[in-house]
Amino acid sequence: MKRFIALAALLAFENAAFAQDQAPAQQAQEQAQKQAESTDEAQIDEVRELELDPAVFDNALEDFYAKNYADGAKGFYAFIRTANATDERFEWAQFFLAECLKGLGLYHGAVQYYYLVAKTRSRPEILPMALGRLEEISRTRPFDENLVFEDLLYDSEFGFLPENLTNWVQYVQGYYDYRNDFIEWGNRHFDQVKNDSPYFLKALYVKGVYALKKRKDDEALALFDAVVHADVDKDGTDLFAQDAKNQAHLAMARLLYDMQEWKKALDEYDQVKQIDLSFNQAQLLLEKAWTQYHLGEYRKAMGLLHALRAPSYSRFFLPDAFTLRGIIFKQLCHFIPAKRSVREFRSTFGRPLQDLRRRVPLENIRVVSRGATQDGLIARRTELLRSLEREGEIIDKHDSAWSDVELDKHLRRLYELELREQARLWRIEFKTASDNTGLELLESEEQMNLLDYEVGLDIFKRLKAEEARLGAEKPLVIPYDSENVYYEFDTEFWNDELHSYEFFVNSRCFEAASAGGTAK
Amino acid sequence: MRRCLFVLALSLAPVVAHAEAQPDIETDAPRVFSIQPRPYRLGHEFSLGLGVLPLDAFYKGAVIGAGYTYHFSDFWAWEMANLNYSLNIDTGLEAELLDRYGVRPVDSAGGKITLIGTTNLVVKPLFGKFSVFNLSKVFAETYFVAGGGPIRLERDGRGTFYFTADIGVGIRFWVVKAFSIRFDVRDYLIFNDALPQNALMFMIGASFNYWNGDDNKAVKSNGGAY
Amino acid sequence: MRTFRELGLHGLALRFTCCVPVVLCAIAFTASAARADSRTGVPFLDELGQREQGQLEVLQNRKYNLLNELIIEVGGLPADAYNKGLTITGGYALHFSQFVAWEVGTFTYSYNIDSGLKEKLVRVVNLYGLGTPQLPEINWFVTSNLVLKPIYGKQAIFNRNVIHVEAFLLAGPAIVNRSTPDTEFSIGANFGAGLRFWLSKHTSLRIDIQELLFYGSNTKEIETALHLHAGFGFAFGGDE
Repeated sequence: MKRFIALAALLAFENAAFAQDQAPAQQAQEQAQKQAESTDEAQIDEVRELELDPAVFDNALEDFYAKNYADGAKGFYAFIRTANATDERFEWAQFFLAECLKGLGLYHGAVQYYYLVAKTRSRPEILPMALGRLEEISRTRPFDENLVFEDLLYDSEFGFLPENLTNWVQYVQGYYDYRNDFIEWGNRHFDQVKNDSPYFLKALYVKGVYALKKRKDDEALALFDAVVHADVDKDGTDLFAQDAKNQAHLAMARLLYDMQEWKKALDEYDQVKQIDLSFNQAQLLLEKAWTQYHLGEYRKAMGLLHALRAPSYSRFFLPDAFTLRGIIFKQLCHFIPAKRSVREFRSTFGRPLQDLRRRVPLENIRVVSRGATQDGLIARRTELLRSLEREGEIIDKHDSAWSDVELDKHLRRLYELELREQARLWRIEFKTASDNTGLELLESEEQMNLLDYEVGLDIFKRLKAEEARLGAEKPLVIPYDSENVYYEFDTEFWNDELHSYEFFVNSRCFEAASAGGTAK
Repeated sequence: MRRCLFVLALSLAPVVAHAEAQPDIETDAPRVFSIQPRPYRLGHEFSLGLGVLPLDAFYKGAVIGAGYTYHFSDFWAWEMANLNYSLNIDTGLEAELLDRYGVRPVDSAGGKITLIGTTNLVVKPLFGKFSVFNLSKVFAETYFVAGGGPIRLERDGRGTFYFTADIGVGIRFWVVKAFSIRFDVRDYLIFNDALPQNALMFMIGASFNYWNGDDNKAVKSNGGAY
Repeated sequence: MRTFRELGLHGLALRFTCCVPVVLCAIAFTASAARADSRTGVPFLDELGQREQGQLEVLQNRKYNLLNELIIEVGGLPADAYNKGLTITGGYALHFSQFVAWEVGTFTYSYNIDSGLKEKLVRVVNLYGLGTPQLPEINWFVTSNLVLKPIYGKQAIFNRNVIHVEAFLLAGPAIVNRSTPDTEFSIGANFGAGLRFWLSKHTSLRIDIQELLFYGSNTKEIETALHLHAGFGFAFGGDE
């Protein structure tokens, strides 16, 4: 009885602690949410009047060329604040301010000013440079896609541009036309993309995705095939082009997987090059594992699942990996490891599942948050949010140097606005993404419970003694003289080996004599 | 207390017996291998090297060498010919002995090494890879050699050929498919008129490889009978 | 008589129950701190999203990471014409990272054996009454080296086993004690390279080739000594 009371007190306290723990976090989130949803204008601080010093532009330019970006930014901003917008150096000042901000790592600030220069277009000679910087940032950094793609590029005419920028602009315009279902217009834009540009690959990919959406699988396959065989970046040095080809290979592989053409799907999966250790690569391993499983290649499937234990992949939300591992062990009649997979799943996801059932807000469940933000548009937006936070810290480092022209205040306002907007959009996207992740987790739990039950049944399956025999398994023989190298795994994960692990384990299944054959 | 311990021991006994009766599942515990095709294969290898014979007190040999090796497989090879010419540099010890002590050493070892020509069996049991600052990767192979051949010792301007047996170890680092850098350490046992003489050689070499085999063969075959 | 089921367990439960609120408070506090807002109001923001694209590392979860190392090696000083030294070396190294270490100090004692040349020389010189030749020999030396370990890898042996190897370079000052025949202390430098083969988590086999370079204070000459040695490194305090 006393024990029960102690336990009840414990539970009550835990709930109280949990509620208490919720309170400050909840308050802060509510505040942030209100701020994000607020449409009130930010308070305008009192603007100090500054006089235009004729030499300020030249001094700032000297600082820029001397790579003294902090002082250069200060000078250019002072010029912008004080000079007339009709001054012939005004747009140059904006452009160089953007360059200085980029040099300091303040990419969002730089994007804002490149955008202004490109939008106003009063100096045609600066336009290609500003667009060129934006194109580079769009390939390499998180950035505000709405601002650059929708506000600036979409539905705009830029006149004559260098070829690489024309390819980019036409691609973006075509992409947004496709998104809005203006297919003819989209194709007109895509036709202007040169076929030696990486954007040509992206354009083909977009067309392929659209064909998929319209359930024209053959057309989609042909388009993806055109991407991978395009005469772009044959030597594989351009990461951007490689990423586009990887996406096409993946799309083809998935399509073939859906058609249950396992061998062809696997061939396509094998073509995807490992250019980073992102979620996409982890996802690739899991999909390959499923494909190998369908082909009956259990040891290769297990090897791929083993690679998912690498530190770079262990943080990703892939509950399917546990399921597949358990299924394969069950197929091989290794019931204890199969049970272990179930236990591992429960220890990894037990707490998040409890939180789900307690209706904890999904963004407060770490696993669900991670799972919801690891892919797609929300992943890019999360990267942008993180980047904005970090860049905010850079502003703090220079605030004393910039305070007399109030550049720090200006940038903080810029970043604050952007953070609010991106956080608002993030919450909208997160709602759907997290719901899907939560559902996926619950479904996986159901699968694991079913697996657990089936393993329990299999352990006690009856078989007549005279009919039962163990499959004839060949012993593992490793040739000392071989075209292949065999590295036995010993806790180190070499990144070039992640797709080549094989799991050697004998089947323990008894075969009925009448069935014949050997276990895999 | 003693009674408690006795009861405890009795109660644990079946547990211990039961633990011993459980099947040993470690005997066929799964093993994980990474199976990769060898990125570099050797066929006809031509090598050039620079080395040193550092042990003799009276002279140091600066060695220039060349060789040809035919690789039967990824494990066995035959270094058909390995020729080394030693440019001998006097250490000044002879002059020092004469100056300081008025003595002139008589070379009982048979002379200075000038030419070595050997043929060797090569065994390559180790293949692997190294990371350099965890940023780039280089593949390497370790091999052992054993063989013999003629060696020329020169004394008082006259050279005589003897037989030498040699063993050695080397490591090769690949730069590209057709080019690798090798480090060799070889010990020569020279059977001359006197007691067998020992000479140690360190060599660094460049190796040029020609292989016209099927690079994709390894990818298709999985290796291992399983 | 107290039984196991009565006061002992009860007392334990009571004590445990008292501790639990404290523990839970701590957990709740740290959890709420972890969930606390960034400026975006997005919890766990630092943990979300994809891994940043960047240089692709070669390996993860390196198996052997050293921290403290005790070195014991045997070897020789084979290059001297008159004295062949059999050496025994002991030392300690501190590994700052995977790439840099400091051999804080190594002490090498050399047991010198007269070479054939020296024996003959002494015999001849004594025979002609020219006195005993004064041939310097190294007694011991102490070094402290900076170690750079850029290369780490593995090799498959007969495709069945894997051995992990590390290559390193080292350089640092040295103090050499010699008999010339008067005892002299010379200051110099030591540099070299080596290979390490791991035998287990705590033990590795080392092969070192080092060159001592020093200024003989009595002989007034720059002298060198080639030191070849091999032995074991015993690691402790690193990744367990």
